[in-house]
Amino acid sequence: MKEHYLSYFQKQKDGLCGKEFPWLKRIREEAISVFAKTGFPTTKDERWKHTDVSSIVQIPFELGNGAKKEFSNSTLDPFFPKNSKEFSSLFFVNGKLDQERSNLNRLEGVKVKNFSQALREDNDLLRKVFESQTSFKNNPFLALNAAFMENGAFVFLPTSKRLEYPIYLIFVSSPTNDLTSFYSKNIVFAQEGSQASIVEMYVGPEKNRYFVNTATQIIVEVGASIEHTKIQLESEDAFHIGAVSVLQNRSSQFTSQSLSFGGALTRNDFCSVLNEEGGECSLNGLYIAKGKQHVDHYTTIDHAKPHCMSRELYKGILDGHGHGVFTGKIIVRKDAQKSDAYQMNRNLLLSKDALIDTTPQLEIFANDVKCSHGATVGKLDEDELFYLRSRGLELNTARNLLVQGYTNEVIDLIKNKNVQQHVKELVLQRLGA
Amino acid sequence: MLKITNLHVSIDGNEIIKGLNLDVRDGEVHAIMGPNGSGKSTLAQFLAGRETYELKNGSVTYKGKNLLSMSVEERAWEGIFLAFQYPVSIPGIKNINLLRTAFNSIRKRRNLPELDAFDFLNLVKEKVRLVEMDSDLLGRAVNDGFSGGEKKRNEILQMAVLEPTLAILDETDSGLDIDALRIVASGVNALRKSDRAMIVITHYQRLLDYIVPDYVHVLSEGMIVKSGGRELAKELEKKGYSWIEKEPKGGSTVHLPTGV
Repeated sequence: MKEHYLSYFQKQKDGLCGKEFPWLKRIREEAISVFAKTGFPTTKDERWKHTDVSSIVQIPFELGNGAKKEFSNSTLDPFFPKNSKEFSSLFFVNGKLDQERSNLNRLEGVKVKNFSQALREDNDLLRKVFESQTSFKNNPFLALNAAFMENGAFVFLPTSKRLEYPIYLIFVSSPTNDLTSFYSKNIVFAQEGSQASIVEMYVGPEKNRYFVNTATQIIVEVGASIEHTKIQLESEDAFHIGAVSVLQNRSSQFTSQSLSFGGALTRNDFCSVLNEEGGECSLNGLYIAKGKQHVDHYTTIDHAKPHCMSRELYKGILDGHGHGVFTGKIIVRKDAQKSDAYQMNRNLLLSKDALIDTTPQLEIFANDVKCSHGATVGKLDEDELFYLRSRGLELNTARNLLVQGYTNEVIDLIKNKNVQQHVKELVLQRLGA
Repeated sequence: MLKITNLHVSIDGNEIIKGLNLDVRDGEVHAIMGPNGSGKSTLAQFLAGRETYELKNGSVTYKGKNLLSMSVEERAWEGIFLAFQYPVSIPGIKNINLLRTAFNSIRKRRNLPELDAFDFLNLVKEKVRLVEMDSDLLGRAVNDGFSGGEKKRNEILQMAVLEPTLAILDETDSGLDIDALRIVASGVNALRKSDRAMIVITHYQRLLDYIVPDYVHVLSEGMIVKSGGRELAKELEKKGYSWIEKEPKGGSTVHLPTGV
């Protein structure tokens, strides 16, 4: 199927977004040539050992034609916070910006715009960001993303701007054609001392097949603080492959939550590079896989400079034939002395056919560091169940309460209270289903 | 209220309870004492419905019904409450939420109206005073990071809120200093009433200085080997369990002596 994408690129390249910018065309060409060399990953690749992508590879996906589909509010409302009118949002439906559902009234000087608009208005900055990215060289799906990216959001936080309300970037997918794919690219640029909570949300309100390939790049400048929450609620027949790459400068803070509940096959890469001293990074996640869902998180925290701290907590709930994969890579470079890293992956298996593959990978080249990691796999605790039932809770109620309780540890790490409340409701919906 | 007849219970093939008889009537407080390994906690957990224990023989009726055919939660709905020797901690579930969920599920089964969060909080605040518990503990995760004394008070608080008809207190005194013991015991005493029975399981007699039982039974190797009034506990304290264990076996009582 590699050939399908190569020839499809040749057919499409002159019509892709930003075709008038030679530098962007050059990047697309470079990306497709990387992909031409690598092809799709297989389970022989160390980074894809537990995730077989052949179910995506064998389908000749094409770009979304943007055939706009109307959704009633009652289809979409359950996914979004009740007070969402108070938040800034960019709303995409089947790859096209939906102006009416977007809300850009509370921006207070922050730029939030569509990718194509940003190409026109912030060309120099975008060019700088794109030309510095190298990550697509190690990830064939990211290379495809760079070749085909069509839409997405550009967020620019000016110096010292602190935004109290979250910014939602929403991608709703429900194409009429089951060969449809969506390639989105998001860029968040947080200038010195700025602060915001950004939610990236993928929703498949109906049961249909499509493929989302998304890449997000976040640059956190000196002393800035960004919270990023990725909520993946794709249709249960959809494929979602995403990557979030973060560059952190001096004394910056970055917190990420990955909530992955939907999709037939999901792969999420999170990578943060602590590029200057004093940075703090926290990568957290909660994944739930039921039925035959497969969800893979590949996380990398790169301590490139001394005196940085990283924290990581991923928790999984696996039921039915659900399969979870977690890889937690921590690199401590040679001169990154006094690095402080802690990683934990916990998994709850609710059925005998559920499966988890968890792999910590520590690559430590400095000698004065504090690094620890752990992984657990367990069932619901019989003593806890007995305790709750002895208080009059029915078996099902007791189980649900314990599973809910299990998720709270991750939800409580979300700093923005509006987002936290929203996620809490989504988790309850998901567990109740 | 509770009638246990010739009960034999085993776990993993080992018989722990070996022919136990006990008759508990409304309003009575029975103390069951015994050395470690005598089967006290097994009895408590078995009565609450713990499924890891296996019934080998005998019967247990509760308010005239077959207790052993009821699930754990059905027993709770019928008014059985076990105060655990080692209450589990459950990170992620708030103490107040567990209390309210438990309270309302029992109310529902008893065809009583459920209480909303506000009314329930008022009820709990009143009960919290009974066990002199720091009300901050309500907002914390269940028993998570609680001291030994706080956990035991929390058990008695649950009992006060859930208003059982038969309360089984499994070594509620273990791990408590005298002050905590006094508080817990006075909480228990406040809950004594004519239509509520209690089984107080303890290793030491000191708890019985505070919760004065109507009857004392000595459990040894899975059987009640001696029964008596409150003086029996004093005698045990003086002479130790070896005194009982040396006596010939077979003294288990079906009918309780009165006024020994």
